Amino acid sequence: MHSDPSTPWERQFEELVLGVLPRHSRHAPLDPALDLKAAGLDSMATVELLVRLEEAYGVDFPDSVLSGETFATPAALWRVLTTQRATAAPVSGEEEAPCAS
Amino acid sequence: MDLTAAARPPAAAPGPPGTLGALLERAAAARPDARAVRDRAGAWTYRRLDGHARAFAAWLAERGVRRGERVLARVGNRREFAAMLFGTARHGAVFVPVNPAMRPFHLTQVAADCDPALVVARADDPATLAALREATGRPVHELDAVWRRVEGLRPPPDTAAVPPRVSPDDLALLLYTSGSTAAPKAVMCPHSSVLFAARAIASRLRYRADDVVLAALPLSFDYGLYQILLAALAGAEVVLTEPDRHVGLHAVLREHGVTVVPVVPSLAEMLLRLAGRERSAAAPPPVRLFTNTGAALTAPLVAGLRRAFPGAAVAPMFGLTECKRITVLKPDGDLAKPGSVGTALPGTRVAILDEAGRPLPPGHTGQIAVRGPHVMRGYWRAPELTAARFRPDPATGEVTLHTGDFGHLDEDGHLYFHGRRDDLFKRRGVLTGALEIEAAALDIDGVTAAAVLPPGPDADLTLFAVTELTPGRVLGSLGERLEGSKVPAVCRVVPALPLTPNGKTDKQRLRRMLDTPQR
Repeated sequence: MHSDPSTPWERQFEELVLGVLPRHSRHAPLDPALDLKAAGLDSMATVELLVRLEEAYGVDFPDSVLSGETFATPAALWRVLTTQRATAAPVSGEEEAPCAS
Repeated sequence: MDLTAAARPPAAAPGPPGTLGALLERAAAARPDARAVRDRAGAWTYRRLDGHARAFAAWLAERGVRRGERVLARVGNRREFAAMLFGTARHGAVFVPVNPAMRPFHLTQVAADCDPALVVARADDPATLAALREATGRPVHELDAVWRRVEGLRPPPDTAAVPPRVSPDDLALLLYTSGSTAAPKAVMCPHSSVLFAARAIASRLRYRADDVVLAALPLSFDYGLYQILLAALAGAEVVLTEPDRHVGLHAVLREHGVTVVPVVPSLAEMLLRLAGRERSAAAPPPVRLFTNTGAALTAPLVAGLRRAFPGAAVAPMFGLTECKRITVLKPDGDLAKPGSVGTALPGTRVAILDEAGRPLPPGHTGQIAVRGPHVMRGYWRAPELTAARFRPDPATGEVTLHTGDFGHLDEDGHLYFHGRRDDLFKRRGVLTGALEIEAAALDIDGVTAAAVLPPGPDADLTLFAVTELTPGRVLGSLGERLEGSKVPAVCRVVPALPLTPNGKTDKQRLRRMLDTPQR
């Protein structure tokens, strides 16, 4: 039961995460410690969330963070997303490929 | 293709019978230093896998497990699974794999039904083992602890009890199927039938020694499990992944140079969605072959795979756990025979029967029936159910498996699958299959997934669709493609279709959704 009244993230992030959860788990505000897998985030929904986050924020998640841990909780996911935004080039260049595998 | 014509399968059945233990021994002798199986933690060569399998057999002996007793395994897609599969077979016990995602309610039923000597389970958290002991009422051993002991038994001491003699007629596996019946039922799989099926499939798909095969599907599902056997026959490598790695599946494919990918529709969809975000600079993974069974790929998915993985062939197949596999279409055979799932495995026969059990000529739709050494022994401790589906010929005794699936054969013996018996129905006097309506729905631009529930006592014909279109638009477009009796009364737009752990559309859950009012 998360009681922190201040939202630790942008509204858009919360909407994107809630948008891929099954209806019975779509409770705002999103608990940062919510077990997303238990809440119904299956692998298909995880892929969908990844694609939507990358589009919305203009970032590319490198291979190294594409794992269950990244998508374990909203807090973990927000942390990874924030890191990617910080390292992403200010102008998102589609041609450069910073993610060597 | 008359089932009654010849009593015996052709003599050219591929390979001699044998045991699963012998299969691994041969692979380890032929390619000792080739990689056999890899998971997140690392890889084992065939020599090491064989060593671990022998050590696990010794561990079973140490625990007093006897020939024919069941070993329930809840370990998921880890390389220890392969060692346990072969080790249990070597010991002469029966391997019973279950999905770690199986709920305690279901697991309790499975444990009561298969009556295992012991359970080996991965503990996701400390509460799991206690819950498993409670649910199964059996000794439950934690996987990592078992493996520390198994490491100590490798190589097994000479004083270890000589493993019981294993006959090809012994049961190697009990595979629980996700059938439509309420109680769990397991298919009894003898060594001989499992090996016959694996060799027959291998003769069609031709995995090579340099192949790297992805097993992203659960190993508790026969489609996943047989990847280990097919790889051992070829001396190839299997890469095991679990659902939490699916979001990084393209990276896995590239990193390990995966060349063969068995898919169900949900996995293919995921691969395509991931391919869409790949940078154009990244070389596509070196996949050369996609195989498909369990649930059929839709035409748009097949086309998508060919686009995203240039050079990869697609091999549609058809089967059920009761005989493992019925047909395999040769890679890219769908280009000449669209919609077909292939011809009968070599050394087996398939026929289409009418309601009286008489063979039907090509082009006629009826129940798919199968004969051959791949037909398994029946259902575990369920003689009535076995008698209904596995029917011995009164004269020869040879068993015909009545699959409960419907389809037709063409003049060349290519099978076309129309649906489960439950999916066929009459509406306004017209016989229709759910698959036909689903295919028409997928033909509509903007519909990405579709599932049909036949009319029931509480609801008329209903379509569930994943789409951005309105229900009215979907039904209108269906009306342009199907006669009126086949157009559903209701279309429900859903964000995703519910799936079983094996990747099939979960129609029981769809049924329950009918009871909940729409938003």
